Amino acid sequence: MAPMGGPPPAGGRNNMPMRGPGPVNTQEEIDLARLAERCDEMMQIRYLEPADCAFSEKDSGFIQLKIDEKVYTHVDIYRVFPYTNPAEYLSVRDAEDAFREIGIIRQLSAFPEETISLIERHLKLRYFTPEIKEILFVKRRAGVVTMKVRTEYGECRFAFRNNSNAVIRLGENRVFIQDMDENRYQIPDVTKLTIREQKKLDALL
Amino acid sequence: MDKKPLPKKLAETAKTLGITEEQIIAFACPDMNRDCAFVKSYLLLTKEMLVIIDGKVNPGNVFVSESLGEVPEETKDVSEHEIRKIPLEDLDALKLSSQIRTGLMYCEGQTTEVLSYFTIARYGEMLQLTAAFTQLKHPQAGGETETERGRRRRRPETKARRPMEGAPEGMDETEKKMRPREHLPVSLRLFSYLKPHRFRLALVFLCYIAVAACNLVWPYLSGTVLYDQIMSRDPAILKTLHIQGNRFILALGLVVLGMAAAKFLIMVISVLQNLLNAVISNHVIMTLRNDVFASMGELELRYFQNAQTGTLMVRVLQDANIVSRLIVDEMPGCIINIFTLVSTVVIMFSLDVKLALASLLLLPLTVFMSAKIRPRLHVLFGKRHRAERGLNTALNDNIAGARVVKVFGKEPEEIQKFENTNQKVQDAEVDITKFSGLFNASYSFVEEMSTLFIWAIGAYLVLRTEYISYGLLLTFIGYVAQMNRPIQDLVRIFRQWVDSMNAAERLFEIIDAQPQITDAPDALDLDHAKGEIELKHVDFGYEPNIPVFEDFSFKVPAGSMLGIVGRSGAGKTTLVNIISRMYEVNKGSIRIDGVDIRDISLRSLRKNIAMVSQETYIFIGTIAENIAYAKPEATREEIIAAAKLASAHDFICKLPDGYDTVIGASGRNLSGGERQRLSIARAVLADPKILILDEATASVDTETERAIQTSLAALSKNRTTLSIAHRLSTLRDADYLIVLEHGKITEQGTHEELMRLNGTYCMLKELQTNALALKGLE
Ligand SMILES: Nc1ncnc2c1ncn2[C@@H]1O[C@H](COP(=O)(O)OP(=O)(O)O)[C@@H](O)[C@H]1O
Ligand SMILES: [Mg+2]
Repeated sequence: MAPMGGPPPAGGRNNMPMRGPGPVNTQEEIDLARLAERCDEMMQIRYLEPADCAFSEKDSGFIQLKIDEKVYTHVDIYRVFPYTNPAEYLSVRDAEDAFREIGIIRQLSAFPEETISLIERHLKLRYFTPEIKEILFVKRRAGVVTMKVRTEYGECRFAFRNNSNAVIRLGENRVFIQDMDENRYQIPDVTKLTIREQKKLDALL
Repeated sequence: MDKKPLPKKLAETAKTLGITEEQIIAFACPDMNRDCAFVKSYLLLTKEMLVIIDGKVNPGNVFVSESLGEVPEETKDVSEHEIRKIPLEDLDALKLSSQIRTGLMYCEGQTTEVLSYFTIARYGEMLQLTAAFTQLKHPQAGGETETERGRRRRRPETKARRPMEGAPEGMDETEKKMRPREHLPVSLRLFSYLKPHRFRLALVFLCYIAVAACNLVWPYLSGTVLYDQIMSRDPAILKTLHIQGNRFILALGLVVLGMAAAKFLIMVISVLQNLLNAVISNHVIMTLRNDVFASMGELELRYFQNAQTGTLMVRVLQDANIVSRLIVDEMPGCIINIFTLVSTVVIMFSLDVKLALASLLLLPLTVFMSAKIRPRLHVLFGKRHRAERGLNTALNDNIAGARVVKVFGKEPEEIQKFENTNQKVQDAEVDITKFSGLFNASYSFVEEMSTLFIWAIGAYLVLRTEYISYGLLLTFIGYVAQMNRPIQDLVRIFRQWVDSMNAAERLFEIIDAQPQITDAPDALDLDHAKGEIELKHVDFGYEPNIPVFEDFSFKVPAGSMLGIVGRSGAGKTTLVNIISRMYEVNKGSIRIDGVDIRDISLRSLRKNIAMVSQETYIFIGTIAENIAYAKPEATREEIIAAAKLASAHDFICKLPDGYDTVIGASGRNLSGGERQRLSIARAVLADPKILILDEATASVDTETERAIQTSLAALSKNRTTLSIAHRLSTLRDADYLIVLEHGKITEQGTHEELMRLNGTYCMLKELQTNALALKGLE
């Protein structure tokens, strides 16, 4: 039973037993080895050890990963638990091969300083979620809420529909707001806002 | 492509660069730089080149989300931007990479390089630009497909949100199946829920009594004392108040102060009492609900078969509310009302018998009005309520079944149906308005008349006799007026009593329903199960008269994989249901490792058997929570590993919120295949000795099924696996196969043996292979 169960490539099943050793057989062996490897890959998570991999930023602006003598020139990094554990469990994927997972970084802090800042910068871009520092203005009309806020990136104005799942509460005090364009804003701790701001917000929650 | 107007400044800058407006094929305004700062950049595409005008970081930059529909402000001076021109021949392709909340555009060609960064809102215009580029570069290949693919990728989730599926219906069956046992009367049992609140309740009673006392004092003070004693300068009052001399003004002050104090006390006490009520009633509701849930958890599948668990829950919650309102808010009120009424009557009679009799003469009339005529109003309310419920059901039905309605083009009929129901609600509303207007008017008329009657009789008595004074009359009128409310309250409470008792009965039915499948007294835990399953002469049927299995015997060796094949309705699901003791067999026995499953504690049985069934259930919560359902203490790594084995890891990682994505109910909807993979991950994480797969991979594609299979093959190494599948290819790995037909094993053996047998299995296999071959899949 081939582990993958896929039909062997052309020239496999019918010819093989009679031909004996030959080019077909080696082809078969290579395929089997590749299949076994893929199969392992499919069932096992590889956790990336800092010693094995070298992350670097290319001129292109993408992250390159060198691991086991293999070079991936464009990897994308995903958070596996974006909310509950943003700094750990990062899935490193090969953007040039259908985002196949190369491995998971268990703890970013175990990596060298440059790698950390490189990956953090990329994650910041990927999961761009400005933090609302101050609510300047909230208006509600016909189910659409318009907000003006101050974030660490500057002032933002946006709108969202109040009836949908635009406002997501996570835990006791953490709130995410998703506007109509799918930009997200977060308030890490609602209680840190002033009472007036909380009141403005309460009307929405 | 509809073109947005070119910002004026941009047009001017373009001119300084030697580009006329006509030459510009497309432009876009990326709004970020690589450090996530908001900037105002521009991209211009002409036939010859791509111009990148990089915005400067400026603290005054305001990010305005696209959906606000505002025209982006013009930058003050474009010339201070960094400008870069790339000839088109240096570019092979312009591509977008969708990050989760942002996007970036990169080029391929001489170099691969990220050219600009933008928030997700800009994706659309960036897409237009890249599409225009592709069109320019490779006019033959459709830039269109690229665009469409990008669009599809762009908004993966917003559009897909559908309301929760699941229609109501079907309560009655379940209700019938609940078997209440002999118990205390419902009302008495309700009091048992108040037990933990003895002291608080006592306090509530005290409050009520205090309020009632204050209420009783008030008419006396305002009538007898104020009029007869102070205003008629009765020296006795001065004596009672220990006031020297003739200072009636001081006495008046004291009495007014007393009256004010009484009202103030009432207010304070009411606040306290409401607070207490809230605490008690919330706690009672909670306990009631907990009891119901606990009981539901133990009940076997049979119980829930025809009920949509959701509707059942909703009703449980509502019932608990109704019941607790009765026992916490109304019962003390009821007792106090009776107390108030009785003491009022006693006081009135002790003050003056004749006047008391006169006052109470017309009371029966108002009682009659409240007790007999008001209920009619409630009939109307009930009618409206039913009509409204009908409306809700119609609405729900249509939302849940929206797809079906649309598929069959039944919208007009549905709309007509809806309008009819809506009309009913309207009619009921009109009836209520008419009747309640009439009732309220006549009720207050009767009330006025009886007051007038007392006035008349009283005035007559005041005129004719010496001993009835004007103040006493006022006191009496005050008392009579005060009696109205308790009477109305009582009538209302008695009516609610019936409702609440019904609700309570429903609750107790669930609480009392005995799980038919319980642990034997000396049930043992199966600690190190091997996973051998043996069925001996088993008889089973859902209904006693319709047997599904008769004298069914079979053995599955530990650690093997059994494939079960058969037409739908053959009894495959039933077989695994009785093995996992979802249902009890009628005769015979099922043994695991030689132990009758009835002697194994349910806890350890459930721990050792995990089932992935046809219907996947997703709980409201995050994906991680759903996977860890059977093992809440699982580490993140275990969760990831389980998901990986179930081929779910990749699709989960690609969700914007990863394992933290909230699913179920109003959350994100997953496809059937994704749900099944989650269920498999859940079962994998539970790490059972016996794994049951009941068409677990029916809704995943062949490719994914293979992947899951491979993992399951590895997974089934140390466990017994029962696998039911329609697609026979799913059962390739089975050590042994049985073919079920009408509850009997008609064929059994290994794949080769069955093929040689040339029976049903062989035929099915042939059919499926041919079908696949026709589709070019195998
Ligand atoms: N809950 C039930 N109550 C009564 N009859 C049932 C119930 N579930 C299944 N049946 C009947 O039992 C037989 C076997 O059903 P099932 O085990 O679900 O078949 P399969 O899984 O092989 O398609 C069918 O005739 C079906 O109608
Ligand atoms: Mg079935």
